[in-house]
Amino acid sequence: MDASSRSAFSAHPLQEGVSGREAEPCILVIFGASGDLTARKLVPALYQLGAEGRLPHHFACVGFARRQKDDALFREEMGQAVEKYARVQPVQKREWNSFAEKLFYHCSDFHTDSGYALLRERLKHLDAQLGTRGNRLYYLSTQPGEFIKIVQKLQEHGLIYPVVHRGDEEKEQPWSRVIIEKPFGYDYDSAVHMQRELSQFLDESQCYRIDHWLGKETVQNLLVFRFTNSIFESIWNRNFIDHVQISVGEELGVGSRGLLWEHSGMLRDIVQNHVMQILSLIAMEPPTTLKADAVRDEKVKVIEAIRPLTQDDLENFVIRGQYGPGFIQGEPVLGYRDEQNVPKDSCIETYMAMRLFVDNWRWAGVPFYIRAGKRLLRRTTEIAITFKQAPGVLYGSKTPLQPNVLLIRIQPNESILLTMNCKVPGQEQTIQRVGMDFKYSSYFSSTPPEAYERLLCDAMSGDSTLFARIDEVLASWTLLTPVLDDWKKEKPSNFPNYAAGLVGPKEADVMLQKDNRAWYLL
Amino acid sequence: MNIQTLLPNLASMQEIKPCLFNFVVYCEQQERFEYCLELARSLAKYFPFRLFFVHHLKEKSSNHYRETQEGLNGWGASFYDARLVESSSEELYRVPFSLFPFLAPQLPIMLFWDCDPTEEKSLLPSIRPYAHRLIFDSETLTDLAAFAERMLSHDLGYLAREQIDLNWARLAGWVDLLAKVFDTEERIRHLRASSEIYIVYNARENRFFHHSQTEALYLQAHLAAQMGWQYETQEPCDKRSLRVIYRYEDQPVRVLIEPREIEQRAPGSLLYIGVRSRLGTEVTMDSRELATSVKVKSVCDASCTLPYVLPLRGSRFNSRFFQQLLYQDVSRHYQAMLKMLLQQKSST
Repeated sequence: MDASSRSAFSAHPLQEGVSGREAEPCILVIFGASGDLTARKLVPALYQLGAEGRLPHHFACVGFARRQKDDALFREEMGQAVEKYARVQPVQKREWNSFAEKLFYHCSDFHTDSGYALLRERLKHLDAQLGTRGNRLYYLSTQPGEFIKIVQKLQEHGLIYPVVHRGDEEKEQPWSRVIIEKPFGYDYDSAVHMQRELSQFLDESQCYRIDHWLGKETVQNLLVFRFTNSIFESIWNRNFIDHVQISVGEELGVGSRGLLWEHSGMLRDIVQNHVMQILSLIAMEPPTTLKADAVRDEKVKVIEAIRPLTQDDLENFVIRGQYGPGFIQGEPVLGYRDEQNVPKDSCIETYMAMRLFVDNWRWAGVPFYIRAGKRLLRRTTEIAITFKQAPGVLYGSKTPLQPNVLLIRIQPNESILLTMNCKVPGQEQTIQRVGMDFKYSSYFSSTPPEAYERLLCDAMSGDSTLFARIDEVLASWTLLTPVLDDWKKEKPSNFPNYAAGLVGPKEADVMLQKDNRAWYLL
Repeated sequence: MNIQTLLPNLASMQEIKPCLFNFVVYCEQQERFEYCLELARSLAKYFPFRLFFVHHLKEKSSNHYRETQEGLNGWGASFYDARLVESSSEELYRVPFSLFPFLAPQLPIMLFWDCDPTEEKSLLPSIRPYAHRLIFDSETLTDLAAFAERMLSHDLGYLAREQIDLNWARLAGWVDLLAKVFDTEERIRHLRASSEIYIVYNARENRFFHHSQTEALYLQAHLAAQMGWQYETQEPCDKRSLRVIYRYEDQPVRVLIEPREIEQRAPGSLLYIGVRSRLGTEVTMDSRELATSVKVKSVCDASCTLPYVLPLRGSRFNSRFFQQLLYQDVSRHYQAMLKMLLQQKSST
């Protein structure tokens, strides 16, 4: 392949405008390729990108893991995974065969120098064979404890390049980027420590902290919805909004992953990352442009504006819970403490709820209520924006008027619903709440891209908009670490405190009742 | 007692029907009627819309005007509203009276005009001002160069706020593919310095398609326009082939357009493109094995690369194709291609 190949020229005469993101030639190395994520999400996403012509044809994917296997076995296993998990079925044999030729496997321990030396040689060989131009994308699909060691080894073996921030010269150099899975740290101190260690080897611009929710179509639609519909943006503030509820419910329990969950919990697994991302998208100011840093600057401002939690808040407006036995879809299910590998006296939360305030001009005085839990009555992620009640001067003297609610359902049954009050036809002045709704599935019947497809493509094209920046991460840890510290002080005496298959602990209901409000039924 | 039997069949009750746009189809060639219907049916699998289908029965001498509200079973769960109008030429003036009350207000109107949109017809002027987007098929044209001249004599936006030629949309996969294969300055330089280009197309005709050479003509004109080649001449060759000769840097660029007939492939679809450069490279892009992908081989004096396969996006009535049809921006490359075709004044 010609060594001078660089697709840096700004006006490609055969390409008209931007027909979607164009990923750059590169080699993707997945550390921990024997794991679940690779088979269920990453490789099926790559395959789908390839099938749609969105993968650069100068591309290779190398799975890096400890298990003994060769390229052929890895391809066979990934073929089975793609058959099962590909978004668009059936899998086309020719497309799979073409994609499989780009899959390779590298067997090594994460700590062995010889493993990295051999990887380097292999990648060089693939560059020459496939024209991938020396560009490297590393996906750390491993335990967080391995991140620093892996990145260090990559840097030591010349597999991560120093960043050249010098305009056009930067565009000519091969690049290297690292995608890091959540969680980024377990609390503030560990996040700072991890960042300090990684920054010895990586520039922030090379760091892609993935939160796969940001790749979801419905989450991306939050900004489009807010900033292309003037009727909503003009009332999107404390003058018109009473409160916001963000709810994340899962039907599933921890299953066989009790051991992992014991080191995590709902705050670390869902609230610190996914929920805080959604909150920041709901509450942020319009960015000046859609460039990555402009958007992320506004998100960070939201999180930094959240009022720190006082002791009173921690005692009365932060609730934790743990599910006991119950019924899901008519079937009895175990309580958390009866799940595999879970101690009988576990204090880890499978549910949390809290109240937050964003202290800025737009949101002062508007409570944000957050809840997230496992083994709730249904799987759902939704945002309910409740508007202030109309004065009941003309109507509402007999029965209080219902406020308008804008319900944005992220998953499943992706939809947007606006409730309003209407008169029931008849002689009486009866007011009935009705819903005006938009369902994705009714309007767009083709399956939307999976989150990982979008995110991998973005990482390959160098767009970090949908990846968390370090200041976002640290800001959310600054807010939430005091909760973890408070929980450490005292073991919960009432666990388990909610039955699986219902709405969560009563204490969460009481929390809202103190504010004369109530949770919406999931 | 089965509780389900106590409940009314919800599917039969009125419910709000989703609708993204109005799709107005005008078709006057009898043999194209089923094709237009098939296009609408395929579109309905991806987007819900309200369909108004005008079938102009030119051969009917008597006054004929018939409206039917079709059930259109089997078009997909999201499809509800459709009206089919059959009209003789004398009664065509009645169509707007049927059409406008039927349209879903405040939603875009996509107008699929299955004949030459640059020729003034009695019906098009009344609908065109309201059309958000005009889709037409240059397959229905008899003289491409004359069409190009008429199109270019106006501003690009005169037909509708947006327009797209179905033939250009069908070609989008190959246009994208060329951009992917020739993706560096070096490769573009080699392409520009081509000595020979070989384009094979499927010359099979059917009752919907008779101008099978159009896509091939479009593609070579597009390449010529983007590469800055100067048109010199064209000449028919053996077996219905056509040679078009351009000039670049005082060197000839010979484009040979050759027909083949392949039963299993769509009429007019491109099958093979070969590019030989004066700078010593040869690139072939071969889609003869499978309609949805292309095998690419590249050889140069110093080396050759392993062949690889690229998918051909938007080559069928699929989501990608319809995204292109409904949402693609008005194309400057299309205009440049028409200008090049205009220089090649001959009938297809």
